[in-house]
Amino acid sequence: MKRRMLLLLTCCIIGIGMVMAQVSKVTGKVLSEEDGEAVIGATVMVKGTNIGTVTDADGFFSLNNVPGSAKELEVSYVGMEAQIVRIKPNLTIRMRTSSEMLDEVLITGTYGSAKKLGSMVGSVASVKSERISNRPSANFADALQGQVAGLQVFTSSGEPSENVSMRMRGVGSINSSTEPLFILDGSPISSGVFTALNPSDIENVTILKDASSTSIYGSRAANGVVVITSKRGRGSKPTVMVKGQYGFSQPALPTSEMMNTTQYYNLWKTINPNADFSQIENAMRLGISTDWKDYFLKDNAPTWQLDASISGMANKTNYFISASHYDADGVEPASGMRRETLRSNLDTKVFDWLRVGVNLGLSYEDWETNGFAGTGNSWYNVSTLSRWAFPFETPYEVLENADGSISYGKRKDLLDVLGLWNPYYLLENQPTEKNKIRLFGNMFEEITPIKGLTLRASQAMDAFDYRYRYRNNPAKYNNYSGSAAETFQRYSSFTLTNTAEYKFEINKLHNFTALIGQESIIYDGSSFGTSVDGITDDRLTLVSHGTTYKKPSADLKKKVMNSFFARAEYNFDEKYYLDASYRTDGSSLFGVNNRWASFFSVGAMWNMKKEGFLSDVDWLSDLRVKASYGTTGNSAFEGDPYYPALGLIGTGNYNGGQYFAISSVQNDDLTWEKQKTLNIGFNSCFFNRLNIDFDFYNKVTQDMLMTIPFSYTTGHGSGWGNIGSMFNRGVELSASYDIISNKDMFWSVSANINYNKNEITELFGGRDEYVVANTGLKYEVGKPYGEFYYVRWVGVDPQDGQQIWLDKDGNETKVYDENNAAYTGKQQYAPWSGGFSTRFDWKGFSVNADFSFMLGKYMIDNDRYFVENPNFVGQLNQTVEMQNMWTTPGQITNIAAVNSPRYFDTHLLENASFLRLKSLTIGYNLPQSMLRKTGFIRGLRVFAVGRNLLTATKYQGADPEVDSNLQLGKYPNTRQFSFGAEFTF
Amino acid sequence: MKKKTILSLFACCCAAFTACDMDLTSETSIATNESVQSVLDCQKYSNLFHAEWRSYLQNTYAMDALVQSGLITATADYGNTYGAFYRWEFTITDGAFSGCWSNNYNYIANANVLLKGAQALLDANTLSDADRASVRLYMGHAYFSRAFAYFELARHFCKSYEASTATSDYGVPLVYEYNPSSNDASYPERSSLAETFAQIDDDLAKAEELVITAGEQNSAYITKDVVKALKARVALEKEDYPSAISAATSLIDSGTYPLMTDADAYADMWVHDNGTEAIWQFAMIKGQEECPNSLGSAFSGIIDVLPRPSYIPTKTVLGLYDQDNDIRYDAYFTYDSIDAQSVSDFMLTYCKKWPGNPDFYDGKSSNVNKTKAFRISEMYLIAAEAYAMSGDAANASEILNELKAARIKGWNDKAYSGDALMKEIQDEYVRELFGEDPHIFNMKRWKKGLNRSTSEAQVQSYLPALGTDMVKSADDHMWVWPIPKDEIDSNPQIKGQQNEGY
Repeated sequence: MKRRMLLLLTCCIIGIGMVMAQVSKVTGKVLSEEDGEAVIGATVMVKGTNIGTVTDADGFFSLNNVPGSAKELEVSYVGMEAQIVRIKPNLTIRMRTSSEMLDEVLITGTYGSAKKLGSMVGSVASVKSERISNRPSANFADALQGQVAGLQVFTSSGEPSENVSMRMRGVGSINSSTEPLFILDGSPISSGVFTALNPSDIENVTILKDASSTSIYGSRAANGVVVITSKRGRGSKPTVMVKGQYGFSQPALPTSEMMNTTQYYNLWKTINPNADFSQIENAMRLGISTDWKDYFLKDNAPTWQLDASISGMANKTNYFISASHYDADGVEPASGMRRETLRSNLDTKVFDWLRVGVNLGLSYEDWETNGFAGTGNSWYNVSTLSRWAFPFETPYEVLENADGSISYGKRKDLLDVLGLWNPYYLLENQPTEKNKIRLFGNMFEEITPIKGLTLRASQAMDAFDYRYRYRNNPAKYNNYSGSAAETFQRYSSFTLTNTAEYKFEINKLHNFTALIGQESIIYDGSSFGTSVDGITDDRLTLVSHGTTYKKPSADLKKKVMNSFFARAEYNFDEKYYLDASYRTDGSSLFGVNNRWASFFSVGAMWNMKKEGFLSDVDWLSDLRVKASYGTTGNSAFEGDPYYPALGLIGTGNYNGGQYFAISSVQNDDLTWEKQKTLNIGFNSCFFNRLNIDFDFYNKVTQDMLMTIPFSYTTGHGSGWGNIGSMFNRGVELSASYDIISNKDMFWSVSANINYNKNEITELFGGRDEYVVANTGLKYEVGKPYGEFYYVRWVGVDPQDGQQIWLDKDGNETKVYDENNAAYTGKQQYAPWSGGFSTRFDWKGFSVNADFSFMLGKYMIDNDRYFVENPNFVGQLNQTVEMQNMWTTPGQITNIAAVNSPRYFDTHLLENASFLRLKSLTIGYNLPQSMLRKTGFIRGLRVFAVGRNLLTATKYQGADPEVDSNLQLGKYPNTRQFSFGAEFTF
Repeated sequence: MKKKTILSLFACCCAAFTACDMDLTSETSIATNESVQSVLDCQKYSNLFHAEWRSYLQNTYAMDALVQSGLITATADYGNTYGAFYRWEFTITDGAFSGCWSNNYNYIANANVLLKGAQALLDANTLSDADRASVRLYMGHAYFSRAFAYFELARHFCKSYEASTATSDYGVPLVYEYNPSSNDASYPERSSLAETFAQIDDDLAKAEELVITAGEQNSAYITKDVVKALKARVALEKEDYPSAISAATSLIDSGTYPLMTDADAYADMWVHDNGTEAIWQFAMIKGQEECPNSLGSAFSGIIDVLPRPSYIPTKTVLGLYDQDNDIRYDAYFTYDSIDAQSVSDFMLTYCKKWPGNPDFYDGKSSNVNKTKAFRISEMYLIAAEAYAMSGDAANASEILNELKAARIKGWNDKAYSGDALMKEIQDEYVRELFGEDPHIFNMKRWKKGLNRSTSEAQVQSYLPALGTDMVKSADDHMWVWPIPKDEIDSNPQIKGQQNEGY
């Protein structure tokens, strides 16, 4: 199938020589060694000449004009190993699939024509669709975790609509975004598109890491570029694919074990003997002990998805049309997501000199997020309440039977012992509806007026319309006075790109490509929201039904960017490569004095295998050495302000009149954060089986866009400015090895690892340190960004049960003093990350396992502050660890005595390193022999997928994958199981 | 030919899209340096000077300070709210310190923006006389607001004013111009306490000159009387007793704000925000302008149906009242069921001084009342204390008796003197201003120290495990709040000027 799809491509790539001399005729057939089927479109050349042809639909070829001197034919085909065969009559040539060649991905960036991965001077890695599709997660990016060296991906919660956070090669910025630039089919998109994109529509995802590949993106590329390419129609016959998948989710990890009623009673008595124990004693008499986690978190929340696509090529038009449905329930109540997507990718060659295409995605997302889940210390956050709630409270009415036993009645809306409304009851009465229609796509027009020159214009859009509706139904808990709120939001970004590219060669040895271009991006956002009180009837809950109107909110904003860029590439006989790029960007975000900035890069690559001295070294299949240096920029301010350089006022009301108040600080010099990146690396392949890629990089961030802390006496806490610098330096190593590769069996393993060292080299003004209040983090020159700065907790003195800390000088002390805070050597951002995978195919079966890991990652377990703290006994349940609380001299324990107050020190700082089986896929392709009988089914694959099946970590909180300095009441990450079938017609 | 047409079209498109204007301005806001260009603009800043204090006076920092005072005990269900202040365990990174400090400096910055812009308007000499008068009034509001902010800073972050040491004790940094910058060399250091109070006096003098609006009961705006009330409070703190007496008694003698004597009317004042006693009472509008009241939420906030107090008055406080005859007792307190969480619901006495004005809510109260910035009764207490401190026991007793007679049915005047007089004045502060005034600053001024014990709790089994028994001597460093760590870190001039003990 794949070979057929590539027919057209091959025709395009290979120029077929003209006939010059008439000598003899050679005919033959090209077959695939694997399945004996015809190879269509294979190129057959007479070696040493320009004479050649292409195989037809049955694999036959015929060469009418082979000179008598010719001895051999050279047969090649994309995705197969080229062969040289001796000329004889009626040849049958069997071609072998090349695993290496299959990996050859064509990279279509934004600017200029597609390139083969192997010809790129920059540091680039690619992830293919098979790694992405079939996952039960709505967000394809979750599957990228552990796939590419240097790319860290986090899914911080199990909420089905949750987006991921991504970082490339360390944390490149402090107060600006560390998110890469995302490109879909050549146009920039926001990460919000991720949940709107059907993973099955993705052909591949390519990660551009170094300056040579990213500088052309200029000011948005400091954190790398993620290029997503959606599928394109191929092959002369239409292909119809239908896939259905069903599964379920549950919390990925168990949370801390909480006390049962008896354990809690014993603890409480120890701590506060004077307390009122009547309720807990009554519960003990009745044998009540509730496991709240079990009550609040689902173990089998369903997920199902359905995909269908039609693709192919008709005349000169490629088409790919797909639709999908995705529906997932969250493990917490009032949480879930439904999504419908449509995609249409069309491109057509109107004339020989004109190509036009459209890639369009349309999605409708309808989701609900548990409104309390975002507030860590809310009683109604079920994640928190499942820890905090007393075991002697029950969510059901307790009925005492005559024989002294008890049975449970209906659900209690008011948890009377806790004095708290049941979160289920509240959530039922406070429904939230969120939906978003998103349209993202582009069209392009490409003109080739003369050979080698391509003029291209593209117009792209990423836009959504978002609606939010909240109702607080009149009910007992609000004294039958409800409220309602509605918000409308619209966002759009238009990207207009025009490029001219000229390719030419001299003597077939010197290959040049030059590109110039221009781009404008316009972002528009607007929103409107209003809310009312005094809703008294739950059948009439629109904002028009309220009696007390609140002030509506409204926002209108715009930002623009203008850019000009150029790129030149040269290679000598595909042996020595050079490239250079330049871009200048202007943005409305910056101060009038500093709006424009320029970025450049230079790169070189040496394809050593092409050198004569290596050409006959058989064990070395490929060796390319590369180096690049260049600059990129960052203008993605934290919080996405549209007017960060302006000193603006805020407004409000007093007694019905408007007021003005200072709100932001003017900075006419505000400008880009710049990053300089050096990259040195090599790509190698041995015995055609073992691939090893290595990169060293040094990224220096300068003029960091920071919210500089001001003295409060200025009237402001901080203001935007360019100050400070830091570096990220590291190495990336990826390797893959095909252990077994033959017709029936294929087994490969691959692994990648990245080590990144971050260090702040300059801070605000003359300061060389700055503490970020209440976060446990501090910036200090010479230290990594994200290293925890806390009072160091040592343990508990067995003699008196008091806690011991270290003072500034490292001496033990029993006095807690915040001034003793010190660097802990433990970091929020994992310096080590990577993953490994293995794939095993045997006949129709396949097993694929992807592991990912992060090492040296630390996080504060804020939950433990509440549930391992005697100060909260009598108010909150505690973990079973509290049974070990110090009570008697000589007792060795980590839980201090009741009278030793707990602080935010390193006793809450836990190692959140983890190793996770991110996905395990088992599949079976039904044999062709069986399918042929059906007459119309061309392929059937059944599969089972597990996500986050296994996790190894020491972290005690909800999940180690959370990308934050601390977690409290976090929605747990999910483990998912899913089963499906994919039909191809 | 056709090719050429398309090519030229293409070229046109390229040219058309090249330049988007990058000089964008916000449609949701205007530039600060263009925000004072007319009388109307000045009025908008004046509105701000009212809104600022509306959101400040009974916010969480006020509750933090009150929790420190020892008039109240936490309940077992307090959930550690204000816990660090209850246990006197706070650290210099506590949000209360940066919040209180930064709010006041923000108010000062806003005042400075208006003062500079308004002066420029006056200097331009283009305004009509009526407009000039309005601009001068708004400048008066700015001076008042700046004085108030410096006074709040001094109360929280400086030692009690002692005339003998005021020139060497630390005051707070003084800022006269709005000019925000990241240049840390431009940040000011702390002035002396004498300089700080001189600045407050100076601003108040200007405010007195410019604010000519006559006072009225429950005024939503800053009036002459509001300026005078602040002046009395400042003068007492500064031990300038003659000024304190003069300012306080002139308000009392004006007769504009008669003391209320009727029990029902007095109680209703705390529900419906009416009455005759408030000199400055902030405007609020249902659904539009409501200000949460941290004190009210902590005393009688309703989570579900019944109030769940985090803090309740001690037995000592309740014992100060003549519970049968004092109209304040029933207005401030109630013995009723509460929504206890760790134990069954039960009855105790909690404070209901901020029950929520029914005009501001549908359904469940969220304790929103119009905050009273100054009440006439405080002027009686200030005058009594100032008389007593200046040795005039007779006048002190007289004025104290006037207040008591209004509040306590069948009160018979008593003559107080010496320590008994001071004790009675101090007790009267509690009786009158309980749950309204943070009280900690009175204790600091009286240098009494704190002695709170478990035995004062209404229900000992309903106390939190830790922190109720608390003894603090009058010279403990924690009576003075620390300069917030953020300020110390960002302002090199203040680095060595942290308050003692932190």
